[in-house]
Amino acid sequence: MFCYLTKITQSLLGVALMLLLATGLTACNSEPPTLMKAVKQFESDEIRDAHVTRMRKYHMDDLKHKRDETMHKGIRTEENSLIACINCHVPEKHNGKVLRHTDPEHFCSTCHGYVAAQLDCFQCHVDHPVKDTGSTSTETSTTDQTVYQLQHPKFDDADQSDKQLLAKNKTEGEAASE
Amino acid sequence: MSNINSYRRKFLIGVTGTAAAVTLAPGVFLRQVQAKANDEAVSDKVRWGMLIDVNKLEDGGDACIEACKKEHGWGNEEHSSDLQDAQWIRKVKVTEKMTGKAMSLPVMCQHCETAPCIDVCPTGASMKRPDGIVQVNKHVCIGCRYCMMACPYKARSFIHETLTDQRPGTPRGKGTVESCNMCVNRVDAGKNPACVDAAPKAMLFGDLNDPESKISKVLKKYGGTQIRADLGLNTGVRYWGI
Amino acid sequence: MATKAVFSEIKNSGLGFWAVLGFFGLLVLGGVWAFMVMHHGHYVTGMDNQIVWGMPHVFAIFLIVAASGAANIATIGTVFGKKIYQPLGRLSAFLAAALLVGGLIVLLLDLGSIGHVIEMAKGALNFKSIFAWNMILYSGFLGIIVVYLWTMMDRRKIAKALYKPVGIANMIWRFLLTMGTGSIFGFLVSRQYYDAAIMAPLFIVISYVIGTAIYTLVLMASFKMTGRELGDAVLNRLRSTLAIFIAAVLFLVLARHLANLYATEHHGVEGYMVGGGSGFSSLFWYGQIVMGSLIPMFLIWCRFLKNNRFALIGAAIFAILGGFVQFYIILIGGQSYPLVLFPNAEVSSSFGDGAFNAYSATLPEFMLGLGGVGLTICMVIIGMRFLRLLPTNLADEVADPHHKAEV
Repeated sequence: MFCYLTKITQSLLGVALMLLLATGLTACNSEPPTLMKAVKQFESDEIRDAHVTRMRKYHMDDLKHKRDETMHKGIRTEENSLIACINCHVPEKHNGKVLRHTDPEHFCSTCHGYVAAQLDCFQCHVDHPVKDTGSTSTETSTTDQTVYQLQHPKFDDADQSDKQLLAKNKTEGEAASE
Repeated sequence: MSNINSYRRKFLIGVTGTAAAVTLAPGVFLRQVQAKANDEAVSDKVRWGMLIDVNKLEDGGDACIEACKKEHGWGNEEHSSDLQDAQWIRKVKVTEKMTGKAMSLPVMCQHCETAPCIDVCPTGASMKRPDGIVQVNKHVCIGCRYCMMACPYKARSFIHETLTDQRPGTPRGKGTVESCNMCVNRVDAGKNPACVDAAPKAMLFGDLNDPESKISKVLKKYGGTQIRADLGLNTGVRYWGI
Repeated sequence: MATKAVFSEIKNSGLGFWAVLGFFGLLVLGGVWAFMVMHHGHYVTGMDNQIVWGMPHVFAIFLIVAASGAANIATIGTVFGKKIYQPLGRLSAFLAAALLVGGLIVLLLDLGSIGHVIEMAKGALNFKSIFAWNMILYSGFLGIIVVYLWTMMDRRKIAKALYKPVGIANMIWRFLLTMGTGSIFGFLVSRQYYDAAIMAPLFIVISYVIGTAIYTLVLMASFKMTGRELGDAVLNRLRSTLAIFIAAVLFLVLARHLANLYATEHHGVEGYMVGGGSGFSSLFWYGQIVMGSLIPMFLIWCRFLKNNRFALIGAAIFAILGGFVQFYIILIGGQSYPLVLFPNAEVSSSFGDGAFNAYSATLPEFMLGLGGVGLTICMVIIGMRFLRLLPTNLADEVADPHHKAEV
């Protein structure tokens, strides 16, 4: 049995190595795609940068932790609300139609499509802001101009290269929206 | 901010509560809101319960069903057959064989204290909050439908197709199981469940653990029937007139 | 006297090997297609909110229960020391693993939200749920089978010393596993046809029937197609164990239904399932009892069919079909009978209250189930190809320890 497997294993290993090399080469380009500008902006650049770097690093862990807080403990602050994220990051209408997560320009789909990591959230959660008739729990509405103060802005978390990239993204985003 | 809101709520409820007690006819109740703050965790000091007076429901619960549909957005799944469509609350017509007595009543998740659906769920997705609300944590639901087999009230539905444009307060999606969650998003915001608001003359919602709440007082005086009481599940939903 | 058994791989030559592998491989592809179709949502199936478990689950439970029974052949040799069964042990253990994997794949692919299983695998299990216990029992079973096969195939002393202890562990684990599978239904208080403690031991005896029958067919087919000799001594042992297990199933089925008929509460469901009140009654009497139990017993015990191989093949096939029908009745029939919320009343609603729920499986469901069967057989064939599972010779002189050489 083993003599047969060795031949197969050898060729399989060879193929795997080639694929790895190929994918490794494509990953050399580490420029993230340009994200759609958020509907609401922070008061200051510092707060925004801290938010962005924290999200880049921890957004999956944050989302998982916050969803457990809401499910099990009923905690529904703005920080824990996915609706609040959506209201900030997804415009009500984009080019005249409702923007959904299946569109590549959707805020979440931009990066998730780029890295081919499937978005599970919008199987259940609605992916765009909905003008409520007043029957849901959160009190945010799309006309609300409140800016959120982060509870844990950690400036030390921000990598120098990250900050430069952010600055570049910001100028590109501004250029794109003009 | 939360302090101001809870103060406002208590003030408003104090005013309306006294007004209601004075002006509304017997049989019409208001929930005594003890709305919790957004950042406060739910606790088992509260146990939410519902009382449904079947004799006072002229339509057998049709208005409740429509209100629930509007609030949570179920029931119009386009690819699913009629029997595959979700139904959180349904009207059951019962005709007793010997006496011929007929009645119609709304049946939804009974929010049992020892719910069989929670016992059988392998992932713990079917869960009970400390305040007694039974719901499905769809983040971990694998869609095995064992809870649907286990529920004595057939309260649960499975979603058979991809959904879009869900109601923001009610995430629901393909391949997971769902059921009446006692409008947990409304309850946390200090409101009544949608069905209770749709049939205020016949339905009452409140804190079963608070002996001073209307629902507790009324249940203590007149009792309340559980469907399938012999299973010993101590449901949170009680009925009069069945 | 029995000589020491010699094992060898089967050769991958000849049209037969590739034809059989190709056929079952096609079934696997069919299963893959079915999964891709079902990915759009379960609306493509015949399952709905009334019949939540359908044809895929019938196949899956059948395969999983058969897995437990197929390993029984090895147990008889190891734990009870019956020498004639011992050469049969390797194929028995491997077949059990293949059946289990086939069944589990079908179960897994039918889940509505498979991605969330990864979260569960990270440790979020609810141990009051028999499902959670089953996950551990099934994966543990596969582990034990690997060790068991090692004790049977490795010639070192340590392997031989562990042969019996691992065999005993395997037997105990199998009992727990099959009881666990039966308890999936036995623990459901809400449904009239479930909520019975007898489901657990019933599943154990069913497992012996279908496991032995499947093993017999696989053994006969593989020996025939590889030109190896298979004597009557071995086949007659398999023959009589099959008949005894079928009798045991009949006994427990009788006990269950007779006891149910006593209580008024169960009259409705018994009338529906067994008393002619539905299609399930016909399936029960003609499919499960006559075809699945009485005919096989007749084929095995009838004196003028003694040593007849076709009779054994027929008995095995009917026993397998009868077992399948039995699971169909338990699964679908049990869900078809309505829940009783208001006894002694006529009930109706838009959600199937008071009504007998109908079910007709769609093609993707059949293909998913058959894909599991195909995967099992493909695994067995490939296993026999690369591992020394099959004895080279099971003729009477070689296999039978009590064989008297003819003068």
